[in-house]
Amino acid sequence: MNLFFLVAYLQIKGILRAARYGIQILLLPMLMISIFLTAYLAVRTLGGKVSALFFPFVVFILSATAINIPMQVGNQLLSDSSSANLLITSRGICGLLAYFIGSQAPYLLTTLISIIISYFFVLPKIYFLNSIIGSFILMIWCIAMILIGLAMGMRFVFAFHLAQIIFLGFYPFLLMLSLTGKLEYAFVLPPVGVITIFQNEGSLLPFSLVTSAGTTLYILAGIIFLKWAYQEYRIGKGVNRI
Amino acid sequence: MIVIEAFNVKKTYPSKPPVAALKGCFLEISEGESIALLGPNGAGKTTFLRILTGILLPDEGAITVCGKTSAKSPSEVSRFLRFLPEAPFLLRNNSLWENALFWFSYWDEILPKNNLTEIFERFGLNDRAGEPLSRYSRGMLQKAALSFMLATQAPIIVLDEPTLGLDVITVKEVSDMIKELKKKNKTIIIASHDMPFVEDIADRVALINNGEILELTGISDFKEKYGNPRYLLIYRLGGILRTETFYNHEECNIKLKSIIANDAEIIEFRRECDSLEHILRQLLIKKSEV
Repeated sequence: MNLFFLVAYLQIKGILRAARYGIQILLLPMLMISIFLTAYLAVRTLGGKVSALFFPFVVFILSATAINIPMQVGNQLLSDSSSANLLITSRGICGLLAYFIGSQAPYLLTTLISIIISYFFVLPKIYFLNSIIGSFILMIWCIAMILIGLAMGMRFVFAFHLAQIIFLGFYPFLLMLSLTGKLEYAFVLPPVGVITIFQNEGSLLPFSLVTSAGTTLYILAGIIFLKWAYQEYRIGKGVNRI
Repeated sequence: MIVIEAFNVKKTYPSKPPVAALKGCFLEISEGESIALLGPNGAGKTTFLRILTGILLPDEGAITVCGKTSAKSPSEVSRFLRFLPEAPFLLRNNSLWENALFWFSYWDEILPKNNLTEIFERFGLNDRAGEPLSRYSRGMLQKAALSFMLATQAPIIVLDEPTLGLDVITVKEVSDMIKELKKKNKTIIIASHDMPFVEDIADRVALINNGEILELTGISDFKEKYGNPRYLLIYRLGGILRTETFYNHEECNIKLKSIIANDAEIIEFRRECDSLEHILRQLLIKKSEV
């Protein structure tokens, strides 16, 4: 945890010091907000309920960021033997994860800012208990996405581009799916379930349990996948191939 | 005490076609020893170092570091070992001191402020230690990364091309500092193409080619064996300066006795060998011809 905070601190300090990155750090939230505004304007034009957009948007950007960052940054760092040698062997996978998340902390912070800005755009109704349950499941889901993202970044040479496809293709599909309210997908696609939990009032305990079970399976799959990818990487089948 | 032991290490990269990088390497390195891995590009030096640090798994055999197998427990091995790769990984937007803070935390070591200040001073980095490393030149980045290696508490230091991009004065400074580390009983492993540097600091050389260790011997024995050892005699006889070279010990003795008998003035008499660079070039040319 100390390492995570140290890396986050050094990254923020480094970015603030290098003025030219001042613009770069704003790009991610600007992208998020532009996606949000596009959806917002489309819904308004079609006469839909704009406040219904907020939770799908939150789940979309957090899930997409959770898988994209480890996939892209991991792919870059691990395909370079210099950084991989130092990062992997010094602290193992946990150290590597702490470094990744810490190094991306400034971007995560700005993503949170974009969520706050969108909140004030649409002022959605927040149901306290369901929001807590939904946030918890969303957090677990994001951890699963980080594990899967890192495994893919470590194993596949094309992971950098695949991350962009997931970001631009898979998650917008998920976003639209969630807006149609197809609850039966909750187990297979936890974000859909999480959005439903966020958006509804009253007891959703059985539904929450089903979504949690689905999310737990993703965590287990993530751990297995990451262990496999690490082993393959060390054999020389990962992004470190000659 | 043996701190590193490589036993029949084999590694083939699973590419298409497969590339056999190491074909059964045996190596033992004692505590406090400095060993240089020599060989052409693609010989297997870096693969050996990557298996040693635990990032790659060997197909067969194993490397143990202080009794721990690098393949099974890379994190434990990393407690004893610090590795400087060819292109150092540094946080470019952060200062030298911030990088030091990061790396020593990553290694779980206390930041050796006094030691680092002294090393920065010797490398001429102190004046610019507060600047982001994005403003550093290639050589300065190498010095920065080397500083951390020279200040670490770990007993084994692995350096891949440590003198790359360094000026001659800094190379001398690095040599001196490595000699100081040796006095502290640290084990140094170096992969380098800088032969004068290797000659200056290495106790032993391991010549690697095509994934095999062709020669593993003390640096002076290596030069004696392959470097055409000879005696050089410079003397003045009858006002004329003469230089003679002898490849035979007996022949040299006879000549010495004769010129002493003739009252010649001996200006210089020494035993010499070809430079390491020359020997290596010749050996690799011969090997490729075979």
